[in-house]
Amino acid sequence: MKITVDKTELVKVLQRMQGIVEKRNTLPILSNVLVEEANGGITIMATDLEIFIKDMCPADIDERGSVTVNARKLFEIIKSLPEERVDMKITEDRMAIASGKVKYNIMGIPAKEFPAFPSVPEDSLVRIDQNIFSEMIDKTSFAVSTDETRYNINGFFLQKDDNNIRMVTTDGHRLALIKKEYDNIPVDTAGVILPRKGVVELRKLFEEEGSFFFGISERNATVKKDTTIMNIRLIEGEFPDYKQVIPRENDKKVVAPRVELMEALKRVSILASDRIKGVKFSFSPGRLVLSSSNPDIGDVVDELAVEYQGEELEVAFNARYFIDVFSVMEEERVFMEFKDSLSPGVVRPEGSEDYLYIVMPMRL
Amino acid sequence: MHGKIRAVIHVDMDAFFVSVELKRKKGLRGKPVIVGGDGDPQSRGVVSAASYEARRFGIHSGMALRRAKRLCPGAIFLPVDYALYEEESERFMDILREYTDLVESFGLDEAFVEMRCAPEEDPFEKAITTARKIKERIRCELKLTATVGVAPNKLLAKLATELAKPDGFMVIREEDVERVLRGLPVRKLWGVGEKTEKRLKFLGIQTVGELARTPLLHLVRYFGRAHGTMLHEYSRGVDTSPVVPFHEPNSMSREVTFEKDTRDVYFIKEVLYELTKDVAKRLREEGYRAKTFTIKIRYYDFKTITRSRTVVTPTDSLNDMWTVVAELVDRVDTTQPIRLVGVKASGLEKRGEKGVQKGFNYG
Repeated sequence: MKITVDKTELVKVLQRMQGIVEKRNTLPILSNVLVEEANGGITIMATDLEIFIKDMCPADIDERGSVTVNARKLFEIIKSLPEERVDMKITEDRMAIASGKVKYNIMGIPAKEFPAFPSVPEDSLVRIDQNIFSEMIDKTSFAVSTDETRYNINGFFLQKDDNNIRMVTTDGHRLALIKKEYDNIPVDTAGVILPRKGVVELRKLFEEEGSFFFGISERNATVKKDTTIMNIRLIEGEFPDYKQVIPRENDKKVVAPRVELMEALKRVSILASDRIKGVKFSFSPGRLVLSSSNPDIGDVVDELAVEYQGEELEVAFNARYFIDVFSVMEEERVFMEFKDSLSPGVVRPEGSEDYLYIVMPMRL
Repeated sequence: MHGKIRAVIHVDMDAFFVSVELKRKKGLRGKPVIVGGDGDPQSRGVVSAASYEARRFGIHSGMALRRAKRLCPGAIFLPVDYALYEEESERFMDILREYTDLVESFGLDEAFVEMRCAPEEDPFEKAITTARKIKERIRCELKLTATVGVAPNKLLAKLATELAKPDGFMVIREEDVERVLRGLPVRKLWGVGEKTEKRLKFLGIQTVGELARTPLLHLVRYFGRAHGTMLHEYSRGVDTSPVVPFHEPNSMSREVTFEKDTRDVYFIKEVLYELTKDVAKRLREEGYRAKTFTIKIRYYDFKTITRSRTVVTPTDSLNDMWTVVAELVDRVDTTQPIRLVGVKASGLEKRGEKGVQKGFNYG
């Protein structure tokens, strides 16, 4: 196959593939991208067997053909080329690249060994608002479990609920839930789990301008934007019954200035131990005292005014869990609800139930 | 504790595994009996315990069963029944704990007891009386014999039982220390193994008395600060280590040597699953969660490898643990015959301790 293609276009397409190609060297071909002819251009494909991405790049084509070559190297090569016009010649296991005076000759693996792209039900895809999805991802992604042994929470749970769409994440110690009014989303009330890596790639794609289309089939989620199609294998497994951990009896209600509280937590957690940033929250009417101590370094106390009328309460939390949520909220004031030192605390924006964050305490 | 006279009792059950076996197989008394592996001297297990009759043939624990069979063809071989010994061991420890909480178990068949008493009492005399009672109760209630030592510290108490075995009773008083230690070969000293013994011999030191006369600086130069200081102190009968009622474990592990070397991945996984199950059970029983899981594989040529992984949230769940272990197994070469496999859980933390992050109960 002989191809002439535009450098800028090709770089853009290859860039999108980089996050997806397999970094662990399990199957060599998964480090490669597949390049093959298509209508009016070339199709480029990458996969780690969980995420499949396919894109098109306009090109002039002389002969038919296809090959797979190392994704990283190809990206670096095309980026470095001196001229805008790139000429390629593809044989079964080789790719020659020429631009200006430079000529590359790259070894590849025959295309027939590359995994097949899952079939995409293109007509069942519906238009989605990527801004809403981006916000939902940003407000929940920090609570996704990274513990690979708990695969059923290594992702984002997406579920329909009347006219709403919910996204829920948890790592077993905290839970983030966001609800948006949205009725034409092809997800049912049973819900699906989207894997973390897939959503990270999706979020990158959402940064681009354009119309996005979304669909769920039995085992895959598909997103399409112009010529880009991303297919994400859903996590098979059951998401924990998150509704049962939403506290209903938290009668100690606090309203606090978000940024001020976040800054205080950052100050106090400097002394907390490295990994688990344990900070004691002591509430008394109108006042919140934050304290932490580290047997090797020393201790710290900070204080701020909050709206609180209940009885005195002491409860310890991992400060990072609070800093995470405060840094993605926009509201000036946050609403917090507690019960006692052993029960989960709730954080949400003042006056809204659509975003909910639940945190388990640490033992005092 | 400083300046005060301490009294430590060391109790060491005589040929424990074998003696427990003989309780139910009385006909074997007085015969060379060996407990090890699955009781088949043709198999590849090792000797876990040998009766005193068998020891006369040069058999000791750790020796290959086949070798033991060659040394003493008439010996009777019995399989290891760990659960039975554990049960008997608990009864033994219960007797000790009736006298004080300060009991430090040292394996299933040994323990240290620290004697405390009112200021006007002499702890040493009280320890001697208690030690006699303990020995008698073990004989009457457990129908087993033990050797008991009483001394001012753990080092000397253990030495006393070592010298008085079997079925013995020995007291080492402060004023006896020098006389007892002087002529002993260095190997008898706690902490002196084969290697140290060899190096000491090289330095011309054969007896504990000679070791005691060697300047500390000299020992530190040859053995490093920690080990050198320890040798110096031990050779003078000095040991300030307390009796610790309970040791926080750092890890829990199980391993098994196969009957025959195997390349059967399914079988290997099955065995590892059982071992993982045992470790998970122990974690839960003792109230721990572990963060790091390690598998150990020993190949036919004794080349041994380990693979480990650390999870974010400490766990005691078999499901969580098995996911990790199974993944580790997939990462090792199973095309070569394997002789031994093991599973270890480490990075333990006590459940429900202060500062521990609580988790949701998703039911």
